Amino acid sequence: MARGPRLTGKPLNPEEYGFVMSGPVRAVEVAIAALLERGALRISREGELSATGQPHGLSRLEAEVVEALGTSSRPVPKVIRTVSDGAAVRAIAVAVQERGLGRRRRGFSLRRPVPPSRSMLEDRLAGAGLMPLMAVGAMPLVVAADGFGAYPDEEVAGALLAGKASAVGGVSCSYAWSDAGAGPAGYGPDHVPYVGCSSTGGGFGVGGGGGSSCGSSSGCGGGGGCGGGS
Amino acid sequence: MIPELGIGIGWRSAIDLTIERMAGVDFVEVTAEHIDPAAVPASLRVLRERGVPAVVHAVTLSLGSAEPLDRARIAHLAAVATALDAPLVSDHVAFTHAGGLDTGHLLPVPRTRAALDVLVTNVREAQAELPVPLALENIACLLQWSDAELTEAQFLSELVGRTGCLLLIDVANLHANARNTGTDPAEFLATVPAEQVAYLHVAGGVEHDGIYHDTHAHPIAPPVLELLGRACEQLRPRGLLLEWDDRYGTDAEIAAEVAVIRRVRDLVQTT
Repeated sequence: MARGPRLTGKPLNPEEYGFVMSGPVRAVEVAIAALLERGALRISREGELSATGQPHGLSRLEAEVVEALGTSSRPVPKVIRTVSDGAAVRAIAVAVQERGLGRRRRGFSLRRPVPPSRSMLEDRLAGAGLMPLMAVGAMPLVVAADGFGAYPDEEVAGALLAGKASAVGGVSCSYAWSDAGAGPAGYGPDHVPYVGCSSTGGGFGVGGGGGSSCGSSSGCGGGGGCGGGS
Repeated sequence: MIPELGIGIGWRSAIDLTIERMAGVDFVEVTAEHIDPAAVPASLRVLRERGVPAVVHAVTLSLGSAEPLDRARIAHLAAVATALDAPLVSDHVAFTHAGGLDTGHLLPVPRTRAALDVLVTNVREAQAELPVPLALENIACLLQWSDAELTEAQFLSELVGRTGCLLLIDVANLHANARNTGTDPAEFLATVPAEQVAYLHVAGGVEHDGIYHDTHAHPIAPPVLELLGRACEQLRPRGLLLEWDDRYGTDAEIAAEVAVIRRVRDLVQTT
């Protein structure tokens, strides 16, 4: 049996966990969900995000989300597209690599990567002490695992998904995984995600970037009218 | 008959869920130009199904323009009012376009008898095509036309007398005009016909270099709240409405502004 990468280090935070579970977009989704839960962001039914001016105690990724919004409102996919290419996500990618997650793919295999089951991945993370230190079912964890649709407030979840669905082209990511023996030597029994994302605005790759793509575009409109004194 | 409206907030799509979930919102005001009557936003449908009235506020009728009304704008306002089953609609004593040009702002109408005649003609024509009563609002202006023949309150009173329109009094605009152009709020409140006042607008603003800016994006300034109390005492309005249009605070901050307005109204009612 080939030797797999050693999973080690401190537990993942929810953004890192989201990244491991589903890639850069999911990490940003976790940040957006956490900001919404704390009231630092607001979302409209149409999926327009805006900041509420309460930027306290933000993670680096959360800060990038708030910065991307500025004082205007933007559709969810536009924010995700902007931030998922940013420095904070790259830092997350490095941080998970340092724990043995997401290695650079070397060589080329004709064998189709087979994603591990979620439970297998979670078991491996748990076995290595990398699962986030949060109660099972905590919002960041469920969003990290299952995306916006798992946000516990159904109306907000609907708005988050409405924003994604309404964007022209939407956002999508797919991920390549190595399974036992599928990857190059050294990947062995570890079911390790190779995550990467590229968008129309420029490529982004982590851990080899194989089999992964992400693109989004969005349309945004706003009402107008007369200003002042109304 | 003017309906009892209570305490309300301007419905904006960016804060639709916030408004839906906020306690103590008795009615909402919708900007006509932002609504397609054939596709009423889900949030407004939710509010209407709960029985929350929606009044419709227009900003582009340009009733003060010395030219024929734009019938399409009137028709749109009427359609939105019908779609929302609005108890009344409103626009401003102002002009926003003329001679094929659009100012992008609400500009003051000269307070002359000639301008009043034009306004009265336009208001009557609009009323004839609207399914519900029309209320007209005082605007905030950074300039006044020279040779005014009437005070603003006299101008509005004559307008009401000749058209039967309702009034929508914007307290923040009243404060802005007092601060920026020297108008007298006391004379205004004593002169306008209280029985024709449908509701009041209140909004936040900020003062820079001696000029008050009616931003709709800051907390309500203390002098505006004080003036709101005086307006409630003298006009006994059927409704008070917060306008917050940009740089929205947290849900709690918005709710707090609505609560402040309610407290002012309640204090006046108990005295």
